[in-house]
Amino acid sequence: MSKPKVAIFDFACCEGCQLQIVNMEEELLDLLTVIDPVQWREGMSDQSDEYDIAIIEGSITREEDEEPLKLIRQRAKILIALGACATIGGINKLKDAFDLDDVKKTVYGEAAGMPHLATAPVKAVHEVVKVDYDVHGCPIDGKEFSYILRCLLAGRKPAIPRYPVCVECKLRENACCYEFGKLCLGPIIRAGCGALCPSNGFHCFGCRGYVEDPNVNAAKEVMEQYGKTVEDLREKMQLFGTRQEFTL
Amino acid sequence: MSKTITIDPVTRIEGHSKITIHLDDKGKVEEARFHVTQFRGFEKFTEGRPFYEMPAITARICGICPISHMLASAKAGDELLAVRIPPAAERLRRVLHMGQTVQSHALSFFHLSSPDLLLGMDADPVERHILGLAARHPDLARDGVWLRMYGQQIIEHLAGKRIHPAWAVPGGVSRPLSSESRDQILEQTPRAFDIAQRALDLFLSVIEKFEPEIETFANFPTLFFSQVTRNGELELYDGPLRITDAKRKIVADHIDPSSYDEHIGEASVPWSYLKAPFYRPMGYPDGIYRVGPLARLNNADRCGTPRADAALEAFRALAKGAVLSSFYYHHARLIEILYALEQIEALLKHPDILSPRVRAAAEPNRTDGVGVAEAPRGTLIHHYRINDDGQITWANLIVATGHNNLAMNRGITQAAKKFVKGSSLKEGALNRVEAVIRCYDPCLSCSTHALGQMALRVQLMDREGHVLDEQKRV
Amino acid sequence: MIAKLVSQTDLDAWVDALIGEQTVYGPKAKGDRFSFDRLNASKDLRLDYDVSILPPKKYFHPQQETLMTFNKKGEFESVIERDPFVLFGVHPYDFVAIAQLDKLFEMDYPDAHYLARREAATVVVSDVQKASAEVFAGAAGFATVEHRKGYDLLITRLDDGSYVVDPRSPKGEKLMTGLKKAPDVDADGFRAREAVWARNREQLQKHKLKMKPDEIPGLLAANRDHPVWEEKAALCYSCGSCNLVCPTCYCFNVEDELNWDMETGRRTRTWDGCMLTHFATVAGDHNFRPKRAARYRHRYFRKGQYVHDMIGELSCVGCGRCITACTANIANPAEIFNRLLEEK
Repeated sequence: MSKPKVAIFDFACCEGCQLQIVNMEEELLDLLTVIDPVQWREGMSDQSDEYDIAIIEGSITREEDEEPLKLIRQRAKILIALGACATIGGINKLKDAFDLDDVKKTVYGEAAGMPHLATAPVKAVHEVVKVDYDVHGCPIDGKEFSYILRCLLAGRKPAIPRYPVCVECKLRENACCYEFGKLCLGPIIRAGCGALCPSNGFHCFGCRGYVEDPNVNAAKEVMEQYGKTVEDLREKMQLFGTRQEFTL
Repeated sequence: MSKTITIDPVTRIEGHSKITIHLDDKGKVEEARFHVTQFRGFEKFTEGRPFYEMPAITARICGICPISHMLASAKAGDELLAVRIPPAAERLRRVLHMGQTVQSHALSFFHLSSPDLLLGMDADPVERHILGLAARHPDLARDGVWLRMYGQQIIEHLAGKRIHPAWAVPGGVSRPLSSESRDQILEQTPRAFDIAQRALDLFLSVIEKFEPEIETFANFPTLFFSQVTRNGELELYDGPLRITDAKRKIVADHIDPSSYDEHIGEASVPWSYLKAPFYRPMGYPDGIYRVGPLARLNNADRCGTPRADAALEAFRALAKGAVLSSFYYHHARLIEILYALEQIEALLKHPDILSPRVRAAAEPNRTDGVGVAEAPRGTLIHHYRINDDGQITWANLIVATGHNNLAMNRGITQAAKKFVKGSSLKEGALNRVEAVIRCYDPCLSCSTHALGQMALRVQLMDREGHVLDEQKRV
Repeated sequence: MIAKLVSQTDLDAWVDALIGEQTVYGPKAKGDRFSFDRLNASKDLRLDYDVSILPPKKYFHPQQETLMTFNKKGEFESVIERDPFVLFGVHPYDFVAIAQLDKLFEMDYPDAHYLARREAATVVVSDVQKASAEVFAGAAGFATVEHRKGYDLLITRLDDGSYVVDPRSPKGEKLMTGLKKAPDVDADGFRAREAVWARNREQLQKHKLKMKPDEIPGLLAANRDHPVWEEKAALCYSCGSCNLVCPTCYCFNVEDELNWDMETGRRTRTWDGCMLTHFATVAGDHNFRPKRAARYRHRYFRKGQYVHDMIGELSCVGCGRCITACTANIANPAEIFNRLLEEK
């Protein structure tokens, strides 16, 4: 069997997810024995190359980035969205809560009118093309990426958690943030990170996106039990959840 | 007829940056420009966010130096709280920062630049990357991977994860250090010293082969900008700002970081999303300055740690005044690795380092806060204003790569003039132009092609945009 | 050997000696909560803990474990852990839960992985010194375990600060070798222990049950359509926290994972929970319990009726962990059972 061709492309992001792949260290060498990383050699060429797997990092923030993405989709058998910017738009989407001209003015002042400084509402990859698999997280978890890739190479469907972060938080034996009066998005956010943030003294920021059926209706009453408001919760949810389906 | 050579993309897809080389009517290089082609708008979309969330948000600006953003942001938060953080918290933040410096410098030197240095600028691009290096110099490649891992593990021990942790917070850090973690780091440090010293020796042994590069890699007088300690030593975490000139004369000293905007202006350039800061008293573009390892070593009177100071001697001998060629960023980086390791060792041996008291609790007591730290690539400035509810009303971020923007443009112009001849494009020439950018180790996608070489597409275009010639690196 | 009366100092010395000889797990502080963890020194052992975040069943049925390794030819090798260890300081209600799991994992298809670990363990039960905020083990009848079998040592701290260390099996006697010099417990000592038990039976009732535990299966059977299920489930996040901290929950999910050679792999199992949305999802993505209320109700039936039918005992031991863990505050079994009784 010839090695599957794998290509990685990045759009607007910090590239931390690609670095997480570099961070796989020894495992990276294993990975390179079973795949052929075409992207690092060729980039986006005009030739009608095909890749078995295309991995997209980052969000789409400029209209002119949509065409190349569609081209990549045409050429890829499997398309994977890598990391929160690609899967849900990530914190890039915070920008959409503001007027875009206003955004440019804040960043560039008087120069904001320059034509090359154009910017558009942020899109996750699935808002432009069909995505076959998501590797969630900000940044991604190298182990999960490795698992998903091995599944795909073996022709299996990866089991990506559909349960909330609380599950993994409990498995790691953390005391719940709410017990200390701290708001946490764990109950409504998809697991798979190993509850990294709550395990390190923080609350869940929500980088892996919502579970399928977050109990939005419970929010008000539950927040009141902790002396909080829906506004408090919304503030937390906006960080990774701006303009998403389940936003309160 | 004037032509434009586009090195596109410096990264894979024209996502983040590219280089264009502009030829005049006689086919000679007139100017080269470094473009940044993405824009996310952090300064706007942080508006309304609670200030204590800022370290976690701004860490997400960059996957390569999230730690530096987290620290600069937490420091701005300390200012808003108007507290002095517990001494153990400051030491832990410093250890984290040194870990970040080691891993980032190791990535820059071993993974990205040593293929150029050891295999040569004209080597076959198919081999000129870390995997090619691993085949030809397996020990060096292994050293590089190990040293980077050492730095990353410090980050993991302290902050829980390598990229975008939420550990440094306004008032301190969210979790103390365990004795197991401290012992593990200390146990590994001697090996890190060996690797750093070997790399420095190696660099010094190959450097004479690169005279043409040294001469033209952004080798021109500029100002230098960085933090130093109060007594003028190398400082990466906290201290007043100093500006020196090409003769290593002090232009401005003891600048309180919170008054940065009296000294730095920011211009927008017509070809890039990246703004171009300049030294205000000299105006734009004459106020060109450089930041990062080269600037820091030019600015500091000494490192203040024995091994780094010993290594500094050879660096000082390079020039009477300041070391001007950006090629020596590599040299400075290796000295800083030694310095960081010495700091790590000293900090971890401090009796207070395991103290559980690592976070000062307070409500905001100021509405304006500036946090400055020396990221691996140079001075990083976070400046926030908040309302009475602690929400951000205004934010300004000046990143290391921004400070160097003007110098990078001038540097690639200089290199292109020397190495790009007429309308024919040789791989080695292009690589040199690109390598100038790499000297600055900009925290953009172009510095993250760690798995292979940069993909390059070069186009020769006339003014109307017709492609006259095209070369691809495959 | 008969029970010994041991001072705090001697107890510490004995525990330190045990730690020097073998793997010992026990309750340790974790922030201002407690968790079972490997002990490195007796000073870390906190027998005054109120309740651990996760129950000690994790040493027999771990959060995640490898069941076997396999290759593509279909050959496989079971992974069975038999390394001996001491599990120190288990509270009585948690031991009751372990005893229940013993029966359940032995039933029908004996679970080799669980049973091997159980066999390898020496279990030291410690009577509760400090009641946790939500415990109701006393109401469920599981505050003390003096009449039960299946554990190896029972340690009770008396009001004067000394400990009664009571061997309950040959394994326990062996573990007590280091306490030979301690005086035997006299009649006064045993009386003092009786007093601790009597007090615990009374005090471990932060919530009361208004019925006898044995009435609960019938009560549930008569109330499948009670409005409480819908009402409470409206606030349920389906986060599974109540399942995951429960000492008697034992459901798991099994996954296969291939190694990078694409030839060999391993099979793992991880704790699952019936409150999670996809707990009952089967092939073809069909979900047998897609509704929150159905899942919510299922948990109470599981604790109060289904397992009771199998082993003759209530499978809620009254540890109160689910009450603490539930963000929405809807997981209190005592509250639900009482409501069913009152609103019959």
